[in-house]
Formats: sequence, C-alpha cells, structure tokens
Amino acid sequence: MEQTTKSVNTKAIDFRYLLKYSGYFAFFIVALFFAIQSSTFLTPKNIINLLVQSSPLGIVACGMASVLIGGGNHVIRGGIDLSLGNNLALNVAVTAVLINGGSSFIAAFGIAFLCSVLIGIINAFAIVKLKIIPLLGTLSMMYLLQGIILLVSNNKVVSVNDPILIFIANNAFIGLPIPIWIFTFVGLIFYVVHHQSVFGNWVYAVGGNPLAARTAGINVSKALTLTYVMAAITAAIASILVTARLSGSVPGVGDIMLLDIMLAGLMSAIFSRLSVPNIPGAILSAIFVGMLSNGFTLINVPTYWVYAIKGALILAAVSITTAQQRRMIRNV
Amino acid sequence: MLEMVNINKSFPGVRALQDVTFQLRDGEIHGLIGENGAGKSTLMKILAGIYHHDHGEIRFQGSKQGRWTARVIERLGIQFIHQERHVVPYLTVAESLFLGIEPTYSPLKLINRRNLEKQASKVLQEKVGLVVEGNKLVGELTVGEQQLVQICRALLQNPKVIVFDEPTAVLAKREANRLFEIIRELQKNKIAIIYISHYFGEIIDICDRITVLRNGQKVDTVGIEGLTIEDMVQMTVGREIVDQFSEKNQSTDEVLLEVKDLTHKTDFRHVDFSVRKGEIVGITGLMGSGHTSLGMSIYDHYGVVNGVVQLEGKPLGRLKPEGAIAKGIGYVPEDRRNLGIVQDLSVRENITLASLKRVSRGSVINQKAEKQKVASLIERLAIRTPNQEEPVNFLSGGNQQKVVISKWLSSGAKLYILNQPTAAVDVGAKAEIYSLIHELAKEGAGILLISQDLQELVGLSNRILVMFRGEIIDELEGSNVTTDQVLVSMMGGEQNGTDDKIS
Amino acid sequence: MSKPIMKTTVQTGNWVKNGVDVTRYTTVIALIGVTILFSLISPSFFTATNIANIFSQSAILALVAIGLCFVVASGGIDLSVAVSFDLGAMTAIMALQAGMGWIPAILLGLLAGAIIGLFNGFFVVKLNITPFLVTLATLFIGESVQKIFTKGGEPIFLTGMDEMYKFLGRGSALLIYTADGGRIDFKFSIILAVVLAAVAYFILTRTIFGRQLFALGSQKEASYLSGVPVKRYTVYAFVLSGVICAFAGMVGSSVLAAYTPLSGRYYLMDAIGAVFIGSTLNRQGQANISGTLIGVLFFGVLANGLNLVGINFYWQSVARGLLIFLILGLNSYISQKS
Repeated sequence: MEQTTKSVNTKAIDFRYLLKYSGYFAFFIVALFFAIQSSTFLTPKNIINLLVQSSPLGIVACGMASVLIGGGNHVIRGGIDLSLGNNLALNVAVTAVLINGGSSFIAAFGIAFLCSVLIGIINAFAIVKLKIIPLLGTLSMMYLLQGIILLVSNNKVVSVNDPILIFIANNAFIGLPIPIWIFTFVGLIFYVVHHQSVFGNWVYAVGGNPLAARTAGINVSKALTLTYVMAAITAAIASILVTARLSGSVPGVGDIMLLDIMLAGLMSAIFSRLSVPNIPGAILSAIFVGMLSNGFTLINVPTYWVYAIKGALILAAVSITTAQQRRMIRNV
Repeated sequence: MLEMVNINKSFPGVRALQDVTFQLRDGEIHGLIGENGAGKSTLMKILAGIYHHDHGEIRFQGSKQGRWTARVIERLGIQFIHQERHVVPYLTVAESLFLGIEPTYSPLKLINRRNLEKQASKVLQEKVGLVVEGNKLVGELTVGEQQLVQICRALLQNPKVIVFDEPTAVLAKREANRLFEIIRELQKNKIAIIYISHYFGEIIDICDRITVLRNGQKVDTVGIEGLTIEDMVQMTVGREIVDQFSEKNQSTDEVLLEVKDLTHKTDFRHVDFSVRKGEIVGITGLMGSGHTSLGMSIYDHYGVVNGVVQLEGKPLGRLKPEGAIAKGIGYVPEDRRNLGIVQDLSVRENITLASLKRVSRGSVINQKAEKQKVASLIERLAIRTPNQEEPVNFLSGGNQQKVVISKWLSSGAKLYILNQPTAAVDVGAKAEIYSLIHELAKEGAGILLISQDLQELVGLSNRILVMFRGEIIDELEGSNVTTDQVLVSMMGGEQNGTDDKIS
Repeated sequence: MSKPIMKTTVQTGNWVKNGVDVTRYTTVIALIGVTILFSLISPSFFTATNIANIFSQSAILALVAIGLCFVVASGGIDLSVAVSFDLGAMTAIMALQAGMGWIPAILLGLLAGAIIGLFNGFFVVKLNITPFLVTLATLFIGESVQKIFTKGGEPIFLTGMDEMYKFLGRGSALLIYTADGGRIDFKFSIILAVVLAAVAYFILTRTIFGRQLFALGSQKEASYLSGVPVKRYTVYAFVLSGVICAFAGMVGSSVLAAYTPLSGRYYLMDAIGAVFIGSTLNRQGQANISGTLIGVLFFGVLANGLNLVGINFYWQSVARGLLIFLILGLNSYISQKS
C-alpha cells in the first residue's frame, strides 16, 4: 500500500511539472508548426513585425489582467472591464480629431489620456461604491463610450499626419521598433507591480478573498479602484500605437479589439501554475493571438479560416490546463 | 486594561446590545460566551471597528478613546483571529503571513520573495511551532495549519490583546491542544486574550474569567473557579437544560446500511461496519484518520477504489448524490455555508431542493403542496425564520443547520449521514438538533454521526467506531462509554510511537 | 455567528411598503418615466401605431435575451448567442435555398443552435473551462465558419421565400388600418416572443429543472450534494440558449428575407444588458424572465423614442449609454441606502 501511494505521488508530481508549463508548451508547438510551414516565420524581420502587431493588444491585456486578478474568478460577479476596447478607441478618436484641429500631439494625447483615467475612475466608482457588478457596470460604460466615439469622430475615418506619430510608427531604437519598447516598458512595470511588489500581493488577496484582505488591513476599495484606473491607462498608452499604426482613427476599432483583449486576459491563466490570471501570461497570450494571425497569413490560410482555427486552438490550449485546475478546486 | 463601558448598539428592528460592560484585565484569558444572537459577535465587531456603537465608551489602559477606528485598534495592538478562515488559497504561506504588514526593502515596496519565504518559515517555527516551507500554498495547508499562520501573523504585530473567535470549531482535538498551549504561552508573555467559544469544556480548561451575554445584555462576569458546564449552560440559556441527551433508543435488528471492505484511494481502507434501523452509530478519530471522507464516500462514491456499500441488502454501486437520495440517503456536510445550504435560495427552496419530485406532478412543482410541506417542517424543527421566503443566508448557523436537516426529512431519508452536525451551533440549537437526531432514530432511521465532539458522540451514539490512519481500530458499545475512553482509543495508534499524520 | 435577523417589514424606511421592496423596481420606474417623457415631447410616440412598432422591433432581441437567461440563471455566460443567431439563420436559409420546406428548414436551423449549445456545454462541463472563454472561442469559430460558407461575408438573399417562413418575421398578428390611414401593425414575432417568454417563465419558476438551475447557478457544489444533476443541467442551459437564439436568428432572417452574416453580434451586448438589467429586479440578483423583458423593452423604447424625438443618431448612442449608466447607478444607490 505504502509503495503504491508513493509511486502514484511521484507520477503526480511529474504530471504537475508538465502542467505547470502546459501553456508554454502549447505556445511552443504552435510556433514550431509555423516555423516548419513557413521559412519566413522565424526570420528576425517577421518576429519583430509580429511583436509590433501584438504590442497594443499586449499592453491592454496587462490592464485587463489587473482587473481580472483584483476582481476574482466568479463568472458573473468577477472582475472584468468590457469598456477597455472602446476606451482605447475613444482615445484614438480624441487624439486624431484634436491633432487635426491643430493641437500638438502632446496636448491632444494629454487630453485623451485624462479622458481614459476619468473613465477608469467612473468604472471603479460604479463597481466599488455603487456595487454594480463589473460585467454590467463596464458594459454600460461601453455603451456610453460607443456613443461618445461616434460624436467625436463623426463615424468617419480621421487621418492624421503628425511627426511624432510617424516617428513612433517608423523608427527604431537599438534595432527594435518603438512600439516594442513601449510594450516592453509597460509589461515590465505591470510585472513588477503585480508580481514583485507588496501592492501586487494585495491585489491577489483582494481577488482571492476580499474578506481576508480586509481583515489583513488592506484597503480593498482602493486596490480595486487602482486596478480599473491602471487598466484604463493601458488603453490610453495602447491607443498611441494604434493611432500611429492606422495613421488616425477608424470606426469600430474598439469593438474589434474588445474580444481579443478579453481573450488575452482570460487566457493568461493557462500560463500559471495555479490557473489565475497573471501578467506574463497576459503578455504571452497577446503574442500568441498575434502569432496566430501572423502565421496563418504567412502560410496563406484564407483569412476566413483564421478565426475558426484561432478559436479551436485557444480551446485546445485552455483544455490542456484544466486537469490541474480541477485539482486545485479539490484542495481549496 | 481594556474596558468597554455601557455599550449600546441597535440595528433596524433589533437591539443588539444593551448597556454591556466588558472589562479585560492584564494578561488574563477571558472567555466570552452566549448563544448565537446574544451579542458576542456584535460586541467583538465593535471592538474590531467594523460596527460603531451608538452609546458607551471604550477605554484602553485607562484612557478613553475617541474615534475607535481600524487604525487606532491596530496601533493599540488588538488583534483578531476570526472564526471564518480568512485565507487566500493561492497565495503562498509567506505572502499570507506578511499580507498587509510586509517588510519592504525599498520605497517602491518591492518584495524580495526568497528572503520573505525564508523568514516566514523561520518565524512560523519560532512563534507557533509550525514547520512549513514558505513557498507552499495556503490552500495546501490543513485548517489547523492555516489558523496557525493567522495566529503568527497576529503575533508579528506585537499585540497586547488577541481575540479568538471560535478557534477550535474546525480543529481536531490534537490541533486544539496545540492551540491551547500556544494561548497559555501568550498569556505568559503578558498578552491578554478574549476567547469566544461554544465549547464550554475548553473554556473551563483555559479561561480565567468568563463574561456571559444573553439577548444583548450582560448576564455576569465571573471567575472560572468552581464553575461547571451546567452552570454555564444555565447562564447562557437562562433556564436549566435538564439533560441535553435523552435516554438512548433500543435499535432494531434490521440492518440498514452495510459497508464491506470499503477502500478509498488515499483516505481510508478496508472499512467494515453496519448501521441498523433506529441505530445511531458514531464515528470519530484524529484529524486525517479518514472518518470525515468516509461519510462523503458512502454518499457519492467519491474516490472509492474497492468495496461494497449496501442499503437494505441492495448494493448501491457507483451512485451520484442524485441516486443516493432516491435510495434514501441524506448527507449533512461539514461545511454548512458552502456545501450545506444554497445561499441565494430561500428557506423554502432549500428545504425542498432534494425532494422536488415529491411535491411535483411530473416535473411541474405543485406550489401549494410545497408550501404546506415546508410549513410543517419549519414548525416541526422550530426553524426561526420570518417566513418561508427568507433568503437562507439571513438565518443563524443553528437555523441554517436545521434547514439542511429538514431537506433530508423532506426527502424521506432512511439513512442520515451527519458530518459535524453541531459545529459552530449555539447551545440552544444544539440541544434541539440532538433531540431531533434522537427522534429520527426512534422513528426507525439509521444515523451515521461523524463528529469530533466527544460529548455529543458519547451522549447520542449506540455504538462508536474509532478510526486511526484510515482504518477502524476500535468499536465502543454500551451506555457506559465515557469520553475519556473514546479519547484513549482515538490516540490508540500513538502508543506505538508513530506519527498520526498520514500523507 | 449570526447577524441579527432583520425584520424586513420594520424600520427599513420608506422604501418598503406592504412587503413590496420598491428599491428593486428602479428600472421599471425608469421605463415608465422615459415613456412618459417621450410621450410629452413627441405626440407620435404614445400612439398605437408606434407602440406596435416598438414591440415589433423588440421581439427579436427579446428572443435572444430569453435564450441567454437560461445560461445566466445557471451561473454562466454565453457570448456565442451571436453565432447561434447567425448559424440558425444561415442553416435555415440555405436549406430553403436547396428547396426544402419551411418545417425541415426550421428544424435544421434549431439543430444548428443545439449543436452550438452542446459544443459549449461539453467544454464547460467536461473540461471545466470558464464559460467566458469557451463561448468566446465559439464566437470566433462560428463567425469564421460563416465567412467560409459565404465567401467572406456575402449575404444570401432569398427570392421566392416560403410563405410560412416569411410569416415568422414579417407576418402580422394584428393589423388595423385607422381612419386617417395609419397602420397599427403588431407583428407575429411579438406573439412568438410572448409565447416563448411565457414558456421560459414557466420552466424557470415552476419546474424542477428551473428551480435546480437557479440552485446550481448560486452554489454548484451544494446543489450537487443535494442531488441536482449539475453537469446535465448546465448542458441543457447552453442547448436551450443555442436553440432559442437560432430561432431568433431565423425570425431575423425572415424579416430581411435574407441571411446577413455576422448580424448576431448586433444583439449580443444588448441581450447581455437586458438580462443583467433585468436581474436587478430580483431580490437575490438572479436572472429572470420578467426583468429581462423589461430590459428589452427599455432598449426598444429608448431606440424608438430617441429617434422620434429627433435626436441625431450619434447623440442617441450617448443618451442611451448615459441613461443605462444612470439608472443602474441609481438602482444601486437606492438599494444600498435602505
């Protein structure tokens, strides 16, 4: 009896070791597949291209992960910010319209940035003070922003021709395009804040058990408020990259990005031993999503198919990690 | 050193506290007892700054305190060990030990994780004698270990007063004993302790004085010398409870449940026993002996690798609860709040959840029949609720437990598996639940009583099975069994000098 | 330890009268308020003709929201209602195009919805993945499938559509010509929505399945221990959602006499909004049919009224968002106060 339990145990440990890296494993397999199928996939140029394409999503995914961490994992009552996509789009529109109206980039973006922060604060107020469930609170914010974007942009493409935006879109620093630097910078800050700082622990505690956090003397409302504001700020930062890439504002950009943002945020959990959302996971998920689009284009998969394969692959990747999730539920 | 004078507190429609004065002396262990709703928790929530009192004042070391806020409380050194285990399962031991009081190494408040973990396991060993790796997850610890982490967290803040709220409700005897040692140690270090518990035995063991509350008023504060459990019961209830346990029934000869060679993949093995109709069989053991998961395994076959369970001679096979209920088994789980009741549903919906077919035509619920049935059960069990539609989470613990039990009365169970049925239930409700269990047995139901409360085991059971390291090692029968006998038997395997923890 | 049992009839102030909790009805009051406001501003708002319009325009959203209600009641969420909607329509229209009768076409459409529901249910129940992710992936896959079948999103127009199929969305249940030449047209789809709402209401409140669905939505483990077939019912909820939304899609395609790819997304967020606004009407915040219908009507009245009042389309969106935000805020504020 002793003997058998022991051997089962060692197996379990090995299995767990595998699972811990299952997210990375899936990532690697997909990358390998593209590398074999297309000779250009692994070229430095393409990798840089891929990273540039993933930068805006990756930045907002960090913000979404913040909200998910602080809000806990309940399907309906858990943390989520559905307004992030349109927050970003509003920023793009405001920046573009102001620049066309004669403002400097700095002034235009400054105003847009303040809008974002305000949106974050209002979201937080609705959720923390008014106790509206995040799903509903941020959904109504999304509706509101949709309207404001229409008003600001007149539902038209607004092209801008600003030197700073052109610089961001076209220049590189030590061989890497500027969007990648911004992505790296934001990612690092979020990593440090959530995984290497006291505040990060607090946010995990708030998401895991708000009551426990409160009794430990943590200001739960403040921590939650900060997550929503931080998320809003990521939307503002990402908007620079989107404005630069699109050379202006295009209607509907927010609605398109929202689902990818949710996806990257939620999928981040598969890159964690404990299946909780996390920053490195969010960054990798964003790159994963970018890699799928990039890779399928390279191997000439018709664009119609891309989303189907994307969806199926995501399900597969997420499915791998579920055995581990189930064990955690037993333990907790 | 701490005085709460003439505290008053009202909630809409209820006067929760009326002129309650509570004095805590330097370095004493002060028991605080009373039924649920007597005002203990309200008083402590005022002390914790969660509620604010309407009238009265709080003095600390003689000086009157103005605003009694969380910050002031923390500065004065009052710490709370809460009854609900406030843990975040996916934080590490180190993270939760230092949660909110992290030693920081830079103005950016960065964490040196490795250092923190090392420090955590050192501190835990020094202060509470817990040997554990700092990077282990809190969710992987036992309940007792989680509590030790909480206590250690309190100690790190140099407390002068520590409030323990029902600390032993979820602990095994052995873990409880370790806790008592720690509490006595704290007393030696001049820390005053407020100790809230429904277990009067342990109050007598460790407290110096007690304060009794009843219906929001203070009954008395007395020294513990010469006090008996009966005295304390009388003070809390306000009347004498003659005997919590009535005379035992004579069980029939008909075998109801037969368990043969039941083996679980990790928790227990080769378990054989039977329960007859009208019989109450107690099962106990040290924490981790397998007795708690045995109940669950009989009910839903979870983790069973071998063996047979028969009800009235027919094998149950691999049943989900759905099937077990249809065959006449009812299970009262240990974790009442999360597994016993469905919090968002009303009292009525909870009571009939497992027996909807009995009040339905086809799959359509007959609302009139349902209401009648619930009304009769509420009356029979004396469940205190304003009406049937009250959300069940507004009820007190004892009444919630009655709702859980009436769920199985409603489904017409023949066999009741009760897992810690009176944990964190007050004296009054406890007595009612005991008499109910008794009544059920009298009506011919079989009862499997899994419990850590030796008093109730001995008082209720016709037979007591003792488990140790996953096996039944002893069977105590007859009306003369004493708690001491059970305790000795529980420790049984220890005489061989082995560790009782099974991995 | 117990918190003191609040006696709900005493002392909770003005908000509670005769045991009816007024705080829960902010949305209803807001709906009435908005209706009165529009009636005052625009004389053509509160007319039989326009009311018939509002109801007719709301019928499809009502169907989608009712479908979603089942999943939300079970404690999940279904973002793939959008593709159930689309694929239901696509299948039925393609079947009609291939010369099938309206009955087999509708059945095939419903089957498509059921398959989507089963797919979701499988991943949620068997692999224990959060419904958010599963249904999001389904949404991606479903939209892609539509593009593949339609060569990138070309609508499929039906010429000579089956009369019965046409009746689903375009037929009138009650058509009155007024003396001054007005048309009061209550569409048949209203009846479909009302009947389905009644059936769904009955299932959710009066049957064992409905009761146990709410139980598992509130506390899965406790429900399991009380004999609720948790997994089976979760799958049922997704299947019901898929089937009902597929039906909604067919009604939609009947209105347009065409299948337009990716049109389901248009209803997704509004359906979620309607269900959750509706859930504020329930004491425990559970999804419920009557609340959901109120939510749907609210969206319908706003869209119609803002249009009639002559507010420009862009401002309409802002006004709509702002109103929803304010009402939810007010609702929470009032219920916290009491």
